[in-house]
Amino acid sequence: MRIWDPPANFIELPSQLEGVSVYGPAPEPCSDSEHPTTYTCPQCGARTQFNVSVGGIACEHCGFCAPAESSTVGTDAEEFEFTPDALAPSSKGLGSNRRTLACEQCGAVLSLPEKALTITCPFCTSHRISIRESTLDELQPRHLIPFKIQPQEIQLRAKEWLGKGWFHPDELSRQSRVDHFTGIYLPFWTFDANIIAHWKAEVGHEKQESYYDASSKTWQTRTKVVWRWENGEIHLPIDDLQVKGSGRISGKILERILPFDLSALREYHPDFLAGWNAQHYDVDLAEAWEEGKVRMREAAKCSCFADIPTRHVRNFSMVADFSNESWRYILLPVYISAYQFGEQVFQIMVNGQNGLVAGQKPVAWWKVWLAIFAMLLPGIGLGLIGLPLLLLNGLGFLPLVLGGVLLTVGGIFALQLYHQAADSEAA
Amino acid sequence: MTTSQSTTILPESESTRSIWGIALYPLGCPCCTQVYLAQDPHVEQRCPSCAQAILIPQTARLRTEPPEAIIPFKLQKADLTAPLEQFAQAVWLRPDDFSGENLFQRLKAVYLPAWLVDCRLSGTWEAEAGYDYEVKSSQETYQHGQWVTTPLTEKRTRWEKRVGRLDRVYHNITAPALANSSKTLRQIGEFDSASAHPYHFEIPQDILLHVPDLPPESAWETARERFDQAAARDCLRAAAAEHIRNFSIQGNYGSQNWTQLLMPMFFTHYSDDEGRQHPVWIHGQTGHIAGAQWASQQKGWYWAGVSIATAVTLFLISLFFFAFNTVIPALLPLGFLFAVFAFAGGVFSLVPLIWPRQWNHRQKERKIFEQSKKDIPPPSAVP
Repeated sequence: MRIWDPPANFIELPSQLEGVSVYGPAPEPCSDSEHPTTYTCPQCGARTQFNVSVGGIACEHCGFCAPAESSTVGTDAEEFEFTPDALAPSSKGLGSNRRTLACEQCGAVLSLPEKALTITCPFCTSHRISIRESTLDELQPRHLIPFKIQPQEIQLRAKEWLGKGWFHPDELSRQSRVDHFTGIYLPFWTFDANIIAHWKAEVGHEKQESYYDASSKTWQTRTKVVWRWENGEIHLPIDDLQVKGSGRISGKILERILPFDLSALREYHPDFLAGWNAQHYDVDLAEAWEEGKVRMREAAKCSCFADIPTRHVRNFSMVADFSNESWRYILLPVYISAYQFGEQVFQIMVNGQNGLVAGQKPVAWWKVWLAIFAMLLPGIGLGLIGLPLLLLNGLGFLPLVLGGVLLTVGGIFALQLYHQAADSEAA
Repeated sequence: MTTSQSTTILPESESTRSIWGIALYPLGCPCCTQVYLAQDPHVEQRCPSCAQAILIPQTARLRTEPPEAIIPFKLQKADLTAPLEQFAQAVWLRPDDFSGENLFQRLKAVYLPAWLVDCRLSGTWEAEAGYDYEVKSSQETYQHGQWVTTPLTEKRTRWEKRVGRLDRVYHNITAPALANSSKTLRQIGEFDSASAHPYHFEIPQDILLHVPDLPPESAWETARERFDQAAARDCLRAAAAEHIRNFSIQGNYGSQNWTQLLMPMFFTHYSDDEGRQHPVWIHGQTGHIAGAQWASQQKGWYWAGVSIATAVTLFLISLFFFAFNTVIPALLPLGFLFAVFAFAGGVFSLVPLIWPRQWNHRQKERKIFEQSKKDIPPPSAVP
């Protein structure tokens, strides 16, 4: 009797019935995360790390280099459904011998290379960092964007950025030391969904109508708003909405260095993290999805309003059906630094893919107040001139009106400037 | 395929006692060539298949093994009085012979055969096994300036390739034993095979047994499909899946054993205007009645004639009243009234004339529709 062999890569599975054997495809071979890698040079035995210019592992001592074995998948990177299984922590860790450190000051949890000597928290510049027992139950990232900007370039870009803006202290660029940038992979979630939203509202349509004005005894036209109930449907596909997976970093600063170009997404490989830091997500999938949903439904609401041909809308209601929702857990490259100016600590971030710089900058408030005063002065001045003239002989009407206009315009600019300055300092 | 049993020729004057242990004599229909077994060959019996001829003794090709299982009648003849009356009453202008009473008088119990096949199936299989899983979704509602989230759960199926070996013995898988059984079953409906029990050589008097006209060789294709379906169900269970698709098996269908299952049916008949006999079949378990319900065109002509004669009479009377209205003025309205009745009677006479033709046309269409419906095979397996 001929012995039957199952196809290659098929393994026997437990059968629930006697007389029937069951074979299925073997699971994917264990990822590197199951067998942590130690990065030592095969030529000289020294420690190796990911080199941005090489795009792979390189040895500083003997010049050995090997490109990372990972392909670019871009926006075609695998996405996952919102299943309980997908949320199960089946694949853990980042796949190499790494230490998990926790900052006692800000609470950030960092994954550092095994022999890393970093003892400064890149988020708060604190030195109170302790080794924490690894309690990794996080999902393993499947994709990342590797660093494209060389660490050497960062100093120049940061100095240039610090020197920009007139309402900051003059000595900011000279006195601030931002030479210690930490390249860190930050956790991000991306979400896709199709939204079909049905809206219903009372929509007002403007209509010109003629009426007889008894006082002037003439026919006049006026605009009347005619209200009627209307409804509609919009289809809104949302692709790769990026939501941060870290609650430790400033959302405001991060927003300013977004977005990342996801067409450069590559399959995750521990090589990319060799010698670099990475942060585990502390905003889990459910929490991030809630935030993603809020942003998606607001986008759907905006689309509904855009669907309405007039600006007169009342009693608006809508039902948004989500379908084909999917998610990805990815790592994105960011350089982080914190610098001290005076007694205060300020954060600074650089997009590791395109070099965009954003961060907190101290504000020379005397400059801001002076500028605000200058903006309001013409209006106030004209008002002060116009008021006595009006009281005296009625000539002050024109300067008073002009003063009012200038005060309003100056006030708007002043408010904008104030917000800009306050934002610049805020984390 | 291989079958472990053989067939024998039963001469027309001999009974099945020597081979089956019970005395049943072969009778055949000279019109449709179907063969039956009856306990008394001398009782005049009309062919339950076509109802066109009386069964006459003839030789029969029989398998040597007796039937293995039988599905008993759930209904007695007496239970069918009202349903048959209702079946006949559904036709307004029906032939004289088409009455509930006649149908009941001619009721005959018949057992239809189906093959019961046992087999050991061993081979390799492959399929796509489907596993259900849930995904979470939501519906967001915005009303009165607030958002309300309604969580939703959606069920999806993940398909995975599965292969394996199968070595199982299957018992009592059924296959059709009559070439036209699907036509009959299509009309009266499926049988509940769960109520079948072993056959004990106890055929009640006055019952006909239809002899298979589809040999195992011809029924094998259907039987094999059934075995494959049973194997697919087993593989589904073995793989602990919820669904299975694209199932195929390469195997050996050995140790085959072919026996018969008997399925209960009543048969009766009626004749139309031209004396053509029409069969009526009744499901022995559910009582579902199937058969064409022909209307009588002759009766239509008769009632149309009566109606026209009445109309003509009324018209003549109305003419009479019109002629004498100058003498008796009160006759004029009566004349109008009779004229209206005459007109109505003339129009009404068209109804019995047209109705049978229309009704019978619908019966023909129904027959064509019934024939175009998907074949209903015998029950898939007997426990």
